[in-house]
Amino acid sequence: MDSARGKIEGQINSLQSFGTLDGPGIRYVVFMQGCPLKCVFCHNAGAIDLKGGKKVTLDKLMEKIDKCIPYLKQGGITVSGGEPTLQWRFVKEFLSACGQRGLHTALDTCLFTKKDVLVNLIPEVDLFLVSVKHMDAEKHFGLTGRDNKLILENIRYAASKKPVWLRYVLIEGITDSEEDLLDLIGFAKKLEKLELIELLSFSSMGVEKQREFKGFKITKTKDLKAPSLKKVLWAKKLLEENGFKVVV
Amino acid sequence: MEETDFAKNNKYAWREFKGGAWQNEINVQDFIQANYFFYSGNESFLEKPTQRTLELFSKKKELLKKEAKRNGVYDIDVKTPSTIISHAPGYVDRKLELIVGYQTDQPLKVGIKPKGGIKFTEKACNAYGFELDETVKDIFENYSKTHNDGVFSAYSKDIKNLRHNCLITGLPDNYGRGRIIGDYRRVALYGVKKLIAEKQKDFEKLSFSDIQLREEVFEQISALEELIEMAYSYGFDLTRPALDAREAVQWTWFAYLAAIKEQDGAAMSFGRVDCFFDIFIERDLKEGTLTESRAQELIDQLILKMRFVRHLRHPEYNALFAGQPTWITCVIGGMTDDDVGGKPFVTKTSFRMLHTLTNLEPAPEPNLTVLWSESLPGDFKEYCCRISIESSSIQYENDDLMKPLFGTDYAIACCVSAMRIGKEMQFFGARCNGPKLLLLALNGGKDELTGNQIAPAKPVPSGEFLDYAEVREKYLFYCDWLAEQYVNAMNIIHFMHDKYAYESLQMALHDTSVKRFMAFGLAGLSVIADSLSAIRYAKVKPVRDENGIAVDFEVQGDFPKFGNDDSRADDLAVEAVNAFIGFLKKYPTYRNSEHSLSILTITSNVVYGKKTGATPDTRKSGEPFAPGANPMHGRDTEGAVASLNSVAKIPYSSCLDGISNTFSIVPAFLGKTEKDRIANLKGLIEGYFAKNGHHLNVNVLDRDLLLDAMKNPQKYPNLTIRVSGYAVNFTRLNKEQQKEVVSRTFHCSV
Repeated sequence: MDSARGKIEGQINSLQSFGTLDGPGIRYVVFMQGCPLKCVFCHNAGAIDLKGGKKVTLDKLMEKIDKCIPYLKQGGITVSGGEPTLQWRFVKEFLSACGQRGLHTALDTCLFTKKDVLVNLIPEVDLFLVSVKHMDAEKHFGLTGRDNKLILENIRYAASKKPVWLRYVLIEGITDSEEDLLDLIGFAKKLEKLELIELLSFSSMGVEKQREFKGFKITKTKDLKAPSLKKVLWAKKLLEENGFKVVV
Repeated sequence: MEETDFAKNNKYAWREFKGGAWQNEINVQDFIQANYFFYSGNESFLEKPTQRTLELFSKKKELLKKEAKRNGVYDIDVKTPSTIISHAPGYVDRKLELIVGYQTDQPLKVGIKPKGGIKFTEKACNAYGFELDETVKDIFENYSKTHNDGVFSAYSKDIKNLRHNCLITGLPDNYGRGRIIGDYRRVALYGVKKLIAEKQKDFEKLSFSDIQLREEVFEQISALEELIEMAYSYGFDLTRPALDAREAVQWTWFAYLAAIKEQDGAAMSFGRVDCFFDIFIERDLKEGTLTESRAQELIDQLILKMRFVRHLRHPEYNALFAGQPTWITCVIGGMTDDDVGGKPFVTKTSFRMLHTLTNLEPAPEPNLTVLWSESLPGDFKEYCCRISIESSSIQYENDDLMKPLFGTDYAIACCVSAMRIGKEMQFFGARCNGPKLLLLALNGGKDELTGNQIAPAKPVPSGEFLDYAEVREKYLFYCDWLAEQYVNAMNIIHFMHDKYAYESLQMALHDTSVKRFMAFGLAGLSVIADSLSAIRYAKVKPVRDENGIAVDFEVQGDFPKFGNDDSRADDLAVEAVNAFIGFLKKYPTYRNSEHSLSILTITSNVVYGKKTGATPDTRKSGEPFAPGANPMHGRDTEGAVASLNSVAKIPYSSCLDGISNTFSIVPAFLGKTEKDRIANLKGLIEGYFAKNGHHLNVNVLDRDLLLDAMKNPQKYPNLTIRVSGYAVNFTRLNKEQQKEVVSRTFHCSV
């Protein structure tokens, strides 16, 4: 790596050298700082503020990754957050450096970003982990404080270029109606390289933390609940009947 | 030639076997290499337990319940010191038991071994509400000296002080040292008559310059004769080799049984039998005299024997080695030599042994230890990982690291101590308290809790804040001083153990000329590393009491911590072990044994912590250390891989007696599906061992489950977890030990 490139810095929330839930196999997960969404179910609210976390140079990060390579043979690295596209220049260099080492790269993103940024990142990404918070534009806004139009367009585009795992959070009474799921199915069917759909049950884990941060449009988080197991299995079955591979 | 005659006489016993050097000399390794059947498939062939095994198992469970009700000791024979032939045969149910033999005339009834120390035998009896027989007491108090008496006749005041102030704890000066693995397989392959003949030949050749060895070999021959007698009382003729698989298992069990009747060593491993038994099983299967179900039955029943091994332990011993472990360690797997094709030592019996955790529920004993190599077959690796996830009862050790040093026929004594079977043994030496040693350096040789001057006096470090270079220099001075004391203590202990409590049967199942290790230990490595790191990279101000003892430390600023793959902290741990083994090697050992070092605590990390004041790493006074070589609880913040990488940096070449690492993870965090969990665990072990990690205990458990088990132990009679180097029934740990286990780093999300 040329020295100038190695010196560039990312604002990093935390590192998890043994990630098993963000992509296939064992993954070194880099949680980037900063997120444009304000999801009510955010489980990593400490990563929302772009100025939080700590600065790490690309060289330093790669030094850490290099020492973990023997564990990552069946897995790889995942950049998550926060929302990694906010620091896309750093992320691109990082993904590229990992790719040069033969590591599988995944980007865990909400894709609320300019298409240019996405186009820039696509060559470096082996797998996109993208989430749809809601198919309905208005409800999406309510849940995240942002419109979903750009997100859905970007997912379609990404899925035309690289494999995609689609993640969907089930929240009782909010995202788990038959209509919600049929909308999701309609959207997902058009995704060219979609490999699977991950259904995540809402967890109240991050909610308390989230309140410490400003700028939430929705504060009624205490009303949010995980759906029953029965409901989750129903949703799984419905998706599977429509030909999707589903992981719960 | 006699050898040829021997082979001729054993034509039937050795039918179908490929010949070789093993026929003309005692060489089990050569026999295995020539005859074993490598199995590269998966577990689909395995069978459920037979009806007979299930009935026996349920009877045994009833007995275990009674034992638990009686405070963990079913019965003690307080009258009859245990020897190979001291007790009549015992059975649970003769009709159901395919493999026979207990330590006394009744299952779970414990024998006494007063040769180790009469005071402790008496204390242990009393602890469980028994009275030691007066005659036995009289004999060992007034007529026959014990190992314990011998040691204390020779100990110096300094050594006694070190023991008393817990700088060295758990020395085998009042219990059997163990850590010796007899090659029990020799009995099955050759029969005892042949083994005696070989020992007699050795005896004839011994010079008069080694009278000790002459006497020992004589004792070994007597022990072998007693082994014949013991087996005869059960109706078996051990003079000849085993003729079939059942006999091979029975013969080997008898050999082990004789060892544990003679000795109550802390850890008495069973060795390496998977390939060995498999050869006999395969022959029977081929001859049509055995089915898969009956083959599994043999292994199941052998494992049930192991789970009923009992030794009389006194309460202080249990504080160090909780849960009454017997460490019947069995290694499984590993690889052959590259020059014979580098094939894996994986047979169907490797699977059958692990399958007992399914057939007979998880249990701490035997201590099943997989010798992991990158080249083991994938199906076997996946099966191990699946059983690990289901049972938390397997430990893994790096064959690729050990094989170059210990060959292809080594086993593990206790938890992590490798040795060539029948060719090497060790003098076990428990461990010293590293953090306390560091505190000695900060307190000029005074114990931080008692204020006693237990080491040479030196000025305490100067200045308001501790200076790293100064502390390091003082620390190394006390390391050297302790090393000398430690070696002296060990020399005394093992001289006396040989003299008063010699393991004649186990040594009879070794070559007459053996290599010996002297195994030292170091506890609290991560506390030492983090403390030195705090002093070096942050500002540490000792808070001294009126006597000038540092009772607490104020730490300003952050510092790198061991367990995050950060060389600034990790290098300090590496330096600590290298320095310590270096100092130990300066001092000559009894019988020219080779110094070795382990980073292993068993459960003593709790007791050690309790007896150690506050340390500069912000650990409070009395707080437990991390077990073995583990990073301190909660300080490994970059996840499991970074944590493992730190431990993997500790050089095995400096710690030949093993580096124990206990890994605990919440099942949900290992992956979403069973397949993912298996693959990820496999990837983790593979990665760790590729980085030259030595040992990994694997626990896959929810912390909530442990908390519930603390409250409702009756709900979890079989909850087995791995602690430093062995497995233990969680509900048999005391509350402090349970708390420590729960507070360990459980790798989980966010």
